[in-house]
Amino acid sequence: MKTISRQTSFKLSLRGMALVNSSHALMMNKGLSFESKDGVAGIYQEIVSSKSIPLMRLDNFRRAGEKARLAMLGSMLALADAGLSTGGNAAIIGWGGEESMSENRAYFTDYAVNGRFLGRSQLFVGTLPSTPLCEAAICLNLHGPVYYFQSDGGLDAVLTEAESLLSSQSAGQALLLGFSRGELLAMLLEQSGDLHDFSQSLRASDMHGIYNSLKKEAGNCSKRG
Amino acid sequence: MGNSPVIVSADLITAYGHGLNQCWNGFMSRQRPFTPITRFPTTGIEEVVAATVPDSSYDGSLSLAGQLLGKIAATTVELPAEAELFLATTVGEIDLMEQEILLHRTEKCAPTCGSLLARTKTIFNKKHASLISAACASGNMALARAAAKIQAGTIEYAIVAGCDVVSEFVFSGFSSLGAIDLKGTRPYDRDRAGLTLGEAAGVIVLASEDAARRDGLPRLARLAGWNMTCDAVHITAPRSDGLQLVNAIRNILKTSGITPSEIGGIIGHGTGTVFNDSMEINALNAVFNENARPLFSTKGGVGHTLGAAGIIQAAAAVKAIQELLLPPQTGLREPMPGAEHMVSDQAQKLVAPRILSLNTGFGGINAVLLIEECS
Repeated sequence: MKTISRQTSFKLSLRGMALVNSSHALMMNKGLSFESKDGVAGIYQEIVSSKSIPLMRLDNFRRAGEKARLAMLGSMLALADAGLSTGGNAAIIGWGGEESMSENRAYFTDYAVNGRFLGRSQLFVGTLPSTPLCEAAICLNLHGPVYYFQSDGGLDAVLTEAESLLSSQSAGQALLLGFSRGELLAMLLEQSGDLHDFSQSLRASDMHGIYNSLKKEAGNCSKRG
Repeated sequence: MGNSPVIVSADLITAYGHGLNQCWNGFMSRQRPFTPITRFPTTGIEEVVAATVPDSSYDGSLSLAGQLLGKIAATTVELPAEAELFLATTVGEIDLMEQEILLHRTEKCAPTCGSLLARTKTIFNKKHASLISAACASGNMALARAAAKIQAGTIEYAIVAGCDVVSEFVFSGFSSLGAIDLKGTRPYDRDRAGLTLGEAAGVIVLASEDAARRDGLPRLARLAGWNMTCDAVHITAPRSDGLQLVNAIRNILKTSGITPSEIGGIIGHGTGTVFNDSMEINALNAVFNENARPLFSTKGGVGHTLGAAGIIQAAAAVKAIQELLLPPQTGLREPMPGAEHMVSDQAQKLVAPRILSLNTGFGGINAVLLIEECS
């Protein structure tokens, strides 16, 4: 019987990373942070006002749901953190295990309390786990594969998936969007010739913890390099 | 051929009944197994049809998807324990969430795709499984990811299951978008007016060529290529010229080293909606130009089964390659402009034992497979 061992090293390099929640956004390489008391929309305004990164046109931002807003903003910041303005044929892989349950409940509750007559299409389009990912692809003009992924394990499982996808030449880069408890971690990864040890980060249990751990590891790598 | 992925088993439960042959015979008969929806109220609409599986019904505890996958697992070919399990679904056990809200239950159900993933692991007796959810392209996406892992030598076997059901959640949502044809879908027809929801469970078992030969399993067809793209244009509407679908098809042809004229036929996504079918026909005309290939949509018969659609198409491709035929297009009265030389109400001969299977989904997700005869 084959046993499934936890993989800790991957042929992946982390080009850019951002963490976004309703009160602040952080960028790993650029060391920038943005804060607002007006939610994700407020953070976006802060970024626009600061003119500190090249802005991408987030045309659908205002009509999007909260998760899609996080996905758009986090993806933009992760690309900017890597010094890119578009990801071309980057893949987008969603993960985190939350799927779109809050959006599903919001849509169906609205439908039920209004007499089970007709659903609200604006709410329905947000009910697929892949919807926030596609919203990010649309606003950043990304044309690679897009899907939501879930497997046993946490970060290790999605890194394994990204490594496999990139090695199959299905995309040039992989943008990993992890959602958990109102927080989004966006990581832009590329295939690497060398194995990189992610073991410290794999121990973190939330998106903030993973962000801090990966940032620390990246800092150690640059000091060593 | 080493790690080349081959299909060693294909099984389906659809509105035509249980079994690939049952489904194929249904397609060949042009019968539409659509029946009026009775499992939930369709308020404001006198009668609307769907392609539901006979003898399936809402159950208080076991989800519909769990019921269908349980039935199909019982007949799946026995495989080595290390076979990896992949699940394609868009909403999973959504009927359990409906019950939670409609019956005002205080206990919240788990995320519905993840809960179906857990149930599927139990059903197939697996310790490890992966969920792939890519809207209505989930089936092809899951097959592509499983095939890539076999080709890379990471795994030898993959069980790729796809399942979605006719639910009030999805029905009300598609109704709100005006995407449903109340009288029954007519893919690629001039007067098409929308989709018909369907439900299904399907299982495709993939193996590396070497493993299939070594273990004496039938090599039914080869999954010879795959490519995935995103339109990145609109969250529900496809890009009208189908450019990214064109790119996905051309990428497969290029990497497989074959020309458009070597494609024998196409199993399209063919939902029957105005925009999807128009986009697909534009894309196919761009790729094949004057060499139009026979085209068929499974959705005229089994409805739009969402996450199971790609699995049904791959199974139908196996049968089409064996029979060297594409079934007559169920529901077709008069081909839409641009599709006159592709679709037919008669069975069409495959010009070569090689089929492209197309999936497209919300958000502009495209996933294309190339399935061919094993030499």
